[in-house]
Amino acid sequence: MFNSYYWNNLYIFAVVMKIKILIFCLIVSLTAEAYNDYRNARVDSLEAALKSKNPPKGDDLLRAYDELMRGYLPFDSEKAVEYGRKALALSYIQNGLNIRQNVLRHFGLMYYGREEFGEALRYFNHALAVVDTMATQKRYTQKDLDDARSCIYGAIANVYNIQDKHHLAIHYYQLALPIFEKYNWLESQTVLYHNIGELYFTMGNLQKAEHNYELALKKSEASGDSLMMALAHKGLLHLYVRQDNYEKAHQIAPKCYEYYHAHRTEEAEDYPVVLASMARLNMMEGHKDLSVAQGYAEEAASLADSLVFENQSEIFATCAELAMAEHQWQKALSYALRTIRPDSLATSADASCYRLLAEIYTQLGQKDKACLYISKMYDTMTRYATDHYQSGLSQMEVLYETEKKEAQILQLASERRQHMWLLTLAAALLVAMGIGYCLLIIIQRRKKALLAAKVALEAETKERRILARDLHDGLGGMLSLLRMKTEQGEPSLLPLIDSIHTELRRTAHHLMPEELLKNGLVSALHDFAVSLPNTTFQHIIAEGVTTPLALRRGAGGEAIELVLYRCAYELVNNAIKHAKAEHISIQLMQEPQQVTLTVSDDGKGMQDSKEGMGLQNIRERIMPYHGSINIASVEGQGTDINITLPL
Amino acid sequence: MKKYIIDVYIVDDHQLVCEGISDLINQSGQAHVSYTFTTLEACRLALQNRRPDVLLLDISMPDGDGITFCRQIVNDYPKVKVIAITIHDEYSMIQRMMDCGAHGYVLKSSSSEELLEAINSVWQGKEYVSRQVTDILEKGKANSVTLTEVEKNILRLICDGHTNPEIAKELNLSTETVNWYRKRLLAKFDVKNTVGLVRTVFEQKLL
Repeated sequence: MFNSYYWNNLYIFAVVMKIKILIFCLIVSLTAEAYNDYRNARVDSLEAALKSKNPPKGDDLLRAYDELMRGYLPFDSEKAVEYGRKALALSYIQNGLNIRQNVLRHFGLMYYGREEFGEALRYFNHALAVVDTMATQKRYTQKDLDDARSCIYGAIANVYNIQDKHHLAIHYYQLALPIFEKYNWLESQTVLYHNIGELYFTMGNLQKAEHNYELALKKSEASGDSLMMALAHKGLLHLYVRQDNYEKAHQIAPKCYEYYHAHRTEEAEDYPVVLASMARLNMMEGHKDLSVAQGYAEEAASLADSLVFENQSEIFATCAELAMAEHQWQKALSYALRTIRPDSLATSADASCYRLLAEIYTQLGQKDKACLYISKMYDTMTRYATDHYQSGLSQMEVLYETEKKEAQILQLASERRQHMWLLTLAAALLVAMGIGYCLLIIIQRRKKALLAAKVALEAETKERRILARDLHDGLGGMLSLLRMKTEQGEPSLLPLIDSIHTELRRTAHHLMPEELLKNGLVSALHDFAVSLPNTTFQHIIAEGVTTPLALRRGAGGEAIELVLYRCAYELVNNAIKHAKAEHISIQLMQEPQQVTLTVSDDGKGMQDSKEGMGLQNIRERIMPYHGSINIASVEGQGTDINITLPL
Repeated sequence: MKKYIIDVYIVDDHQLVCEGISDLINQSGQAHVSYTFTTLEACRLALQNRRPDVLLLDISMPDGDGITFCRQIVNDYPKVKVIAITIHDEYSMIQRMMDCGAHGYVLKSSSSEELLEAINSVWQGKEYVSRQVTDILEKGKANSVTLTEVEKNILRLICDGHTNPEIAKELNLSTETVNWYRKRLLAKFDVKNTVGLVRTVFEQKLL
């Protein structure tokens, strides 16, 4: 729903970058005296100079090409590419690294403008590599490097942002941030914090979103930029409305509304969205003022035609919910139907559109259609859950790869330094150092891998929790009602509804067992055992344990519980599927320093030569927590699998 | 004689669910829903003025926990019968709700007949849990001190007087593992040492 913001931000970011490039060029040109002739020249005069009898040479020619490329960029990309290529070729001859990275980055931006993101990324990364080479040469100052790096990081982040690769986008924005902070570029910082906030918001991590929006607000207040302040206000308003935090939303709403109302012609894209937020603010439980909400919603709807689809959809959803609150079902239906995206992607926004339609059709008594939309919503949720999770993990992998490469570069750099020592130090000392160094690298790498895995797990946990709650509480209740109503009207639909219900509950539980969140591991494992045939659960407390439920205390306790629960799930599944077990027992033994989960069966036992996928998954899960697996088997009688995690 | 119609309140955070269940109950003619609430707070306020015969209560509510709320209602208004109507079919949830004094427990997936039966039964002073719920409760309460096959083998060898290294060799395990299992057996039977363990095994005829 929030893609249009990206465009908006991109535009702002592009403007900021352009200004910076101009300033940068100004500084460069001042230092080169020969360049003075061309300093204020436009494209025409530059071209004339190129064709004159005394054309610029060397560095000046390079700069001329560079400036011509940028001059042509907005209106004639053919010419821009032509001059870009010339500049690139010349930069190789003259070793003009700074211009080279600049040209490469602009090529990237051109592809970005044409929405060829893969190509764009290739050029940006190439530019980044050139900057790395610049870092090894003394003639470039740290400022040169920082300028170039921050621009490229921002550009890469924008690409990932538009491709919905949120983790990666955030990673690159955060790389650019310290540079902006170093030079105290407030505007750029504001834009970045705002973008990061928006990304977290889209990912459903409202806490981090709030934090970043607040930083954006602080920075924009410091710089006194009213547009950026309004952007930050808009983000916060949206967030508080989503959180149902009336107090804070109410506080921020007037400031936000004031700005956008005053600038409604320039901000034609965002103004209706702010109106929708205002409408929602007035629909909040406990502070309902539907007539005011109606006013905002109608104004938003009348402006909606000129918007991109995501924002339209959000506005119509608001209108539909308002109509529902007033029990005007037909009106709600006409609005809700307009929220559906013609080429539906699986997003949580799509799912909530389907939920609205299902509710309205239930209320209108059209059970077939309600049923249809509920199953559509279920499909979307499942698809979204898997896609989202998969893409999250693959992004983590990319990040991890990048870090590995960085480590390699560091390693190479220090190896080079070591050669210097070679001349002065004795061989024996060097061997000793080498060993120590390798150990250090190995330890560092392992630490990074563990950290990446932990981060991935935590992100996964948060997303799953939100999804599970939506599925279980929202959709589950609706389905139950539909079932009760259908009982009398059309019993033929009952089996379908029941199977949707079972499947839904299974998915929600698999995403995040609610009992685990509320009452912890022991209770959740007990429930799990009860829900299965011939399965028992025992909680054993060893001597010296003073508090029986010590797991939750301290940071990470919840994560450990989740890991153990998932291990139990996996192991019990394995036992049922592969070991042909009749009885399964789950045990949790708590000792002062560690906790051990045991899943045992009386099946045929393990063939220890082959380790299935299940056990490998478990090893990966417990690795970040320094856990270990121990398998004790009595042939033909049964197997105990013990998983121990230190506390 | 005019038939008595049972007065019912419903608390569920989904307005639609409230209305749907109301329709079903009202159509039956045996009971009538006089109020529905989408928050616990609203219900709490209303109860101060007027109390129903039966209160249908959803457990997961946005402004609080249905379980705590149930305990307060049962304490403050002993005449009001509370039926949990929920999606949760986990043992711990059912157990906690019944411990807090709920008179009935019905799953949202059960049929409308079952819901009406529940309302009738609790109004007559009986406890009602749907069939599915009864099964879950029975299974959850069953005593579950069991020994795994590996534990049985180790216990047998301990009772025969073998040392940890001997047991380890016999069962193809490491000495450490055997030592850990010994500790777990002590904890399981809540005894201080191996002597106590052996005595318990013989007293309870476990092997």
